[in-house]
Amino acid sequence: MTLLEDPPASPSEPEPEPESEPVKSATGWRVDIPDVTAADMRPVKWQLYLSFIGLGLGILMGLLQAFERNGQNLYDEAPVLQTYYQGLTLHGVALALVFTFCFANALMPLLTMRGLQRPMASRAIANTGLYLAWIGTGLAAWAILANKATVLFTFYAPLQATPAFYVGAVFLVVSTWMTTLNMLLTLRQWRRDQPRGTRIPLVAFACLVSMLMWVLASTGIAAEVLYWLLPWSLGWRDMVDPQFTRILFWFTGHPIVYFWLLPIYVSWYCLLPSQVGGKLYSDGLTRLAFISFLVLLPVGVHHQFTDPGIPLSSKTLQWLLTFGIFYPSMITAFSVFAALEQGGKKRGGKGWFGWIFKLPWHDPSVNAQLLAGLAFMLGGASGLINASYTVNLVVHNTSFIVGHFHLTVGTAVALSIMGISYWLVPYLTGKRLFAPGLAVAQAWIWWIGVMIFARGQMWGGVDGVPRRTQLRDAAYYADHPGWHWPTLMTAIGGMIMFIGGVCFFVVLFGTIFSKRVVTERQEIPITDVEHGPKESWRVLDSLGTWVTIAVVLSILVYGEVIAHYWPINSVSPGFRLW
Amino acid sequence: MKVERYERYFLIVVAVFLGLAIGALVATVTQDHASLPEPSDRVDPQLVRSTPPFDAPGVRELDNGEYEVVIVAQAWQWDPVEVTLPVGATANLRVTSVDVVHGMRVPDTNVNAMVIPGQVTEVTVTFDEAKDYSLICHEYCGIGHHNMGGVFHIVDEESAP
Repeated sequence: MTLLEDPPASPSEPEPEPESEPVKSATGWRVDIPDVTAADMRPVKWQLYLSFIGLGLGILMGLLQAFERNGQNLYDEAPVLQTYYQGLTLHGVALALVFTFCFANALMPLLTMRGLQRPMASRAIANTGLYLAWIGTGLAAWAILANKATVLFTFYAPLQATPAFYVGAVFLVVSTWMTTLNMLLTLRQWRRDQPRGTRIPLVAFACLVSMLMWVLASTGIAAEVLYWLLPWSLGWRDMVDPQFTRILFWFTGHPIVYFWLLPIYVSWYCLLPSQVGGKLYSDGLTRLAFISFLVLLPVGVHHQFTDPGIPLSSKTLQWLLTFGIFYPSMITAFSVFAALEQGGKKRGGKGWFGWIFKLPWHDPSVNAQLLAGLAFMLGGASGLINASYTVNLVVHNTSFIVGHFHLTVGTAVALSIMGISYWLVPYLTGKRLFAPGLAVAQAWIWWIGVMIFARGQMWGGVDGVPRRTQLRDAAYYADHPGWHWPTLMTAIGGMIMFIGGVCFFVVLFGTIFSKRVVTERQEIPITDVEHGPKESWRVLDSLGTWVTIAVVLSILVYGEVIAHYWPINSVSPGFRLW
Repeated sequence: MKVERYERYFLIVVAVFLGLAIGALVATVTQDHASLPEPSDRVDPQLVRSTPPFDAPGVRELDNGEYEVVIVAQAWQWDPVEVTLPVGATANLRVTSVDVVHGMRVPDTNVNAMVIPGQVTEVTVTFDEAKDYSLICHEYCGIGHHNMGGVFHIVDEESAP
């Protein structure tokens, strides 16, 4: 059979797509979503490719950082880059903003289309989101590579980047808003066609709640950048308040980690059980878990336990709310494990642990996501340590935190995205996955790498190694002989992760440029549910109710912070100290 | 809504665990007197050098036998960069920044706090051992961030200043 070649369109110049009829073919999106065309899939595909560019850049920078930890400063020889901190800024922006945002921009609309069984409501909005993401990435990358924005991805004022950096970040955020808007319009169209009271299909519901959570969460950073930092960088405003802009940053900065994670949760809940031959247990608890992330937005102050300008009342309240987040995480652990166990037992696994070995570890997509989940257990546990009020004093701003989030976003999320890509790229391109054996090995290499890496970072952090520091050149490094081994572990683990990352790109390029096409029927693996929506509360589907509760709770909790902080203390001009 | 028996047990166990964790952390505050930084003063970062007590950074012995240590953070050094105190001394650190955000960590103690322009950071610490404690800037503050280290020399009573 022949597959229609997707036009190799450049994202900035889309070919005018004829208002074409749905293409009939035996595989991929052509069979499992009615009425979609290549033009509906193009934004999905090019958001995904941009996401991979972010991943590639980030991994490359990671290698340089691993060498730095081994005492080899390669920044002098590297083209374009000048300093460790410039590379670190690129690492953070490429991975924390581009990689994760663009992946959500690709997967969430695709699964919404699959769930609601219709194309996105507006191609114009989808394409606008796509252009904003590419242009935003381009602007931010230029600013960083031109050494005009060495402010790390947290860009704390009063370090001041060039305006293009902030504009690029804004464009990336707005691209996610476009995605959300389009998903909501699609939901509205779907509702018109359904009898009143039809439950939103679970996978679409999970995607929608995740995106709504992020839109609310991103208002903090939007206000910070649009009202304070961008005008200040342009010279229209003289002074900003470093403490207050940090409060706004962290309003977004905590739930941003949910936004990294939730597309993965969608996969773990709604796809992975089907991939291992199991079933998701409860529709209702799944909806409840996603809603918990939406409602428990205002917890950002637990990143600021050591900030001088925030009172203990705010710190205590948000500490307790943060512990509340542990609950949906444990619901997830239970549900996902239950679904996996059921799948393993159906495959003939016996006893308490026998099912684990019967899971399809040979399937690259499953293997990567299982390993990701394994890392997430350690990542989640270390997150509880970070959030633990006074215990945070031991680890705040040390490399312990870096160890933690390389287990969570750096592995639970990144390795899952690689695993998802192992079905998604063939699904979108119609090409057969290249070297599945290498794809399985790749995930193991990454996982082993991160275990060594994170152990090193956490060990060092507890002994006082600061995060985000050119450590081997540090004035005080020699005074701490105990830092030697953890630092070496970090270096070795990071290098192993890099090898795992390179293998991923070999598989990816091998697949995209492969001549071998998929011939069998290929669908998005959507799981069945044991206890379906009929048994779960109707109010769970009321998105408006939960958004309202989240907004009210955020206003109350952050109102408390701001009421204590007032008035704003704008005292800082910009500094460019690089 | 259907919640299966094992799941209910599991959720109860999680709730108990969280309750114990919260209890343990409350004990670190009430029993062990661990504390987080909280708001004290505000100061104009551009006038720090002429605003008491930051016009005269360094160590002062207080009437109650404790010490006040005033430190000014700037890219990329602490002022003063070395502080000498007797072993067992309780020091109230008062720190602020004249430029960008810095952070201070003294390994082997509970000192871990952000230093933010416009805000005064106050931390109390007791040094139990006669040895050198590093004072590390743990927030990126520009290209020389890793050069920003200081020392607390903690010395036996006889050799104290």
